Amino acid sequence: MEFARFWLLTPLLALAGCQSSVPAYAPPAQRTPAAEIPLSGPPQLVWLSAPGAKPFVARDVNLEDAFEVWYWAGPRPAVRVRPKTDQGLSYVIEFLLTDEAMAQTGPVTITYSIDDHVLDRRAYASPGHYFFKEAVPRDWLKPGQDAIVSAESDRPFRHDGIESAFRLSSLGLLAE
Amino acid sequence: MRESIRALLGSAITVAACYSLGSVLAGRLRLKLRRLERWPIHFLLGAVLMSALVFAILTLRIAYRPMFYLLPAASIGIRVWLKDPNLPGEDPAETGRSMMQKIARGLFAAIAAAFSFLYLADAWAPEISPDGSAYHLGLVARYLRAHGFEAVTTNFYASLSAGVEMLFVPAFSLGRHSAAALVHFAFLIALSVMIYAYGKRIGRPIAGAAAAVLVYVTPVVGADGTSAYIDVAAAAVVFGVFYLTRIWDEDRDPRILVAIGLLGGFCYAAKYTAAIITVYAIVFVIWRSRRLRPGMVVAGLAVLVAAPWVIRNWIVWQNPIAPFANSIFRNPYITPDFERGWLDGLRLYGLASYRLLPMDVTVHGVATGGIIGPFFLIAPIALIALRWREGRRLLLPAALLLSTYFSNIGARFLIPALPFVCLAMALVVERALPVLALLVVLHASLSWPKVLVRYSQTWVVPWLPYREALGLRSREAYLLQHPEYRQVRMIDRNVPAGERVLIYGDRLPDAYTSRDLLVSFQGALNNELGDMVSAGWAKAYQPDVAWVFSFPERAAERIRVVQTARMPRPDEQWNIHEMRFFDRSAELPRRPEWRLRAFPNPWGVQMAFDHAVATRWRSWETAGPGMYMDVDFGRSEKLDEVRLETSAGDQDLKMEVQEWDGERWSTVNAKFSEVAMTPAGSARRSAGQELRARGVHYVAVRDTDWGANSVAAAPEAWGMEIVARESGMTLYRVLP
Repeated sequence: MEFARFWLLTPLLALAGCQSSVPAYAPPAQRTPAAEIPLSGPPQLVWLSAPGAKPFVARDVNLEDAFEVWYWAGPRPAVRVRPKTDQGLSYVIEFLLTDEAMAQTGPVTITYSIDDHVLDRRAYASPGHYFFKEAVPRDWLKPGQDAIVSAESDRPFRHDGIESAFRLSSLGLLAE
Repeated sequence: MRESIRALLGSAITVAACYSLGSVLAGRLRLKLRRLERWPIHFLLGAVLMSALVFAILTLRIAYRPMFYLLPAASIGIRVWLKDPNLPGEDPAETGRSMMQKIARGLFAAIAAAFSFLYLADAWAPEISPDGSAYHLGLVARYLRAHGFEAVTTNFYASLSAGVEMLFVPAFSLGRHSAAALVHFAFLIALSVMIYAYGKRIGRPIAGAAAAVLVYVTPVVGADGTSAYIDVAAAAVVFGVFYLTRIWDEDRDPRILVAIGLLGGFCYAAKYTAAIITVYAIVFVIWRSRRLRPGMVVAGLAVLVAAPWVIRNWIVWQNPIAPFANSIFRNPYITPDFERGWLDGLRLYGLASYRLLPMDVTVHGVATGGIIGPFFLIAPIALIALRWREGRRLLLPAALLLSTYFSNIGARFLIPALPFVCLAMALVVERALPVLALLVVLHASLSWPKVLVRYSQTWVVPWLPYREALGLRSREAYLLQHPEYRQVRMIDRNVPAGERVLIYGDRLPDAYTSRDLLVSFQGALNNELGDMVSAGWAKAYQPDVAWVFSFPERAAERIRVVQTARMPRPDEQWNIHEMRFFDRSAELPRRPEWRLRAFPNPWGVQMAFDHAVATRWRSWETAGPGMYMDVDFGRSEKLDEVRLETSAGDQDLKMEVQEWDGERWSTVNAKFSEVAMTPAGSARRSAGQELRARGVHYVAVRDTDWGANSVAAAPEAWGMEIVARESGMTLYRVLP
């Protein structure tokens, strides 16, 4: 019986024995803060919260009203981009349709355009995080020549008294 | 064609070796099994032994291909040398069957044959199932490359017991990916045969046949059982344990207890949750024999078989039951915060409510990753079987197995309970044989892939990929239809051997690359690397407030800041980007003699003392009273201010500064203030630099990953360059 008890106690003792003290470390190598690399011209894709992105917002994005990286956009947000190539480019946009917006507007349709060309229209019935990507016809863009990439909501609503559509993080072109 | 033959041979050799070993063991134990029971039970017993042998081979790091010819050859050779080492069991004489019974059996056999044709093609076709090609085989491939176990502490899946994967090792070594899937398919056949045999043993052959078919055609069983998963294998082992307890109860031969114990331990080795049947078996034999000893025999052997996995985890992961209980067995590899979030996710799979579960897991399969079929909406009729002893014997283990289901509501996790539920349902309906036959036909029809896709969006077996299975059409072309395969091949082509790649979002099929993929959620290091990338684009991950504790100048050798509040929400962590000390507005330079400690997560403490914007120490668990960050200056230092740089989101934390006087900690009466701040320097570049400092030179980001466009918009601002793109994924190289 005593022997059996010993075997029962062994795992518990082993567990107790393995409680280690908190290890201590010396300070690591100290990093030197790196400076931002400024944008040299219009990018292909505009990440709104990137330093230096402001000049490339063509219209309808409130850069003063952000939650994290999400900026309130009006009904027709647009950015100015400069394609590096005319091959394998896709239109990309990442945005949030908030509960607040959808409660007021109901389902919305967003039209995706480059300059005067309408690329596509999509209907959205529920709030959420949306990512739209679609190949752009080659003859719509010329390398090195600026283009306006835009998205237009058919049902804006008023947020803090300002006409708004959705929260936007990025808009532009992506090379495949 | 050659690959196809290799796959078939690899699996056949592995299965034959398992059967041979099991047959020899059964002979030594003098098990008296009926003819129909022999193949599945011998196979399962042999699987226990084969798994243990492969574990030993990997531990000894002698896992070279000749070893996997030698091992099966020796196993089969012993079996042949001993001729038939088994005692024949008594097969009861077949009683006369009615015409209806004959028709029903014929119908069931035809259904089973049709699904077998389908399943064989799927199992034999190139393996690209989500878990199978990611970690079940990804780890097998990795161990084979290393010729033994590696401490893969950057992938928590490697901490799960892998008894079934040990059988995939020889199969994969001989026949590559599909061979492993075919081995798993053998378990599905074994399970179905056992269910039928069980029905015969209890004198209800039609119920057994119906239940076998019901389980066999169940959509998630088919999809899982023909992939390199392990759930069907675990279910087979579970049912095997139950079956053997039944045989023991009839024969009371103590040697059967050895088989029960070995299989019981293998339940744990196959899948943690399956071990509950071992508890059932132990209690059952004690209860039925009214003696403790039979239970001890079963328990002792089960522990023996399970122990290698527990010991391995304790040595490698510092946690015997990893990936669980990480707040008890704290370790640098899996964070309690990950575990909490992961388990929370498994409890609901994104469903808004449990009320949606019955329809999702039977019909829709959107959230639960597979379905058991609409037929199971009438599963409650199984409860009628409680009226009979046989029914109660089935429903008790079913209830036990279902008791763990709500910890993971994936459809796969119902598989171990299905044989019991189906047998109980069949017992209930058996007397109305036409109804039973109709139900089987209905379930089979609704489970047929061409029908299934009409009403469900779930995991379905591919439709007859026989050309690919037989090698008449390119297996590579079949795999290239899958974007994740194309993505992982892109990584393999563009990343030099030996390099690590951070996968910022969801996992890839690791089994098709030899590169070390660090998926951002799969381990503590990965969590930290992902945190750094997130800091590059997400403001919530960047320091924006300094918590300043000011006090009259004092000399101290050791100072710590203690967190004292309980958090209202479990996802609230304590984060410290930098901890600084000041004296008369001048920061104390960090000297090499300083000793830094933190609790919890002591391993991350240096990240609060590196001046990097993209790194931070995190508690990686819910912030709680008693957590601290402690600095021993190694000598007396004058100071009048402690400053913690953190994120403004941490509103519920409360902290105090304490000083060590040589014997105990005492609270410093400090004045607290919050000061807004901006990160010093570029968070994006800091992220790139910190990845590189940790030996991570490549990052793969899908277009749909959060923050992906931030990197895509200006890779150079992150200190990265685009190496390649494939199917919506960009591979970046982190520049020096």
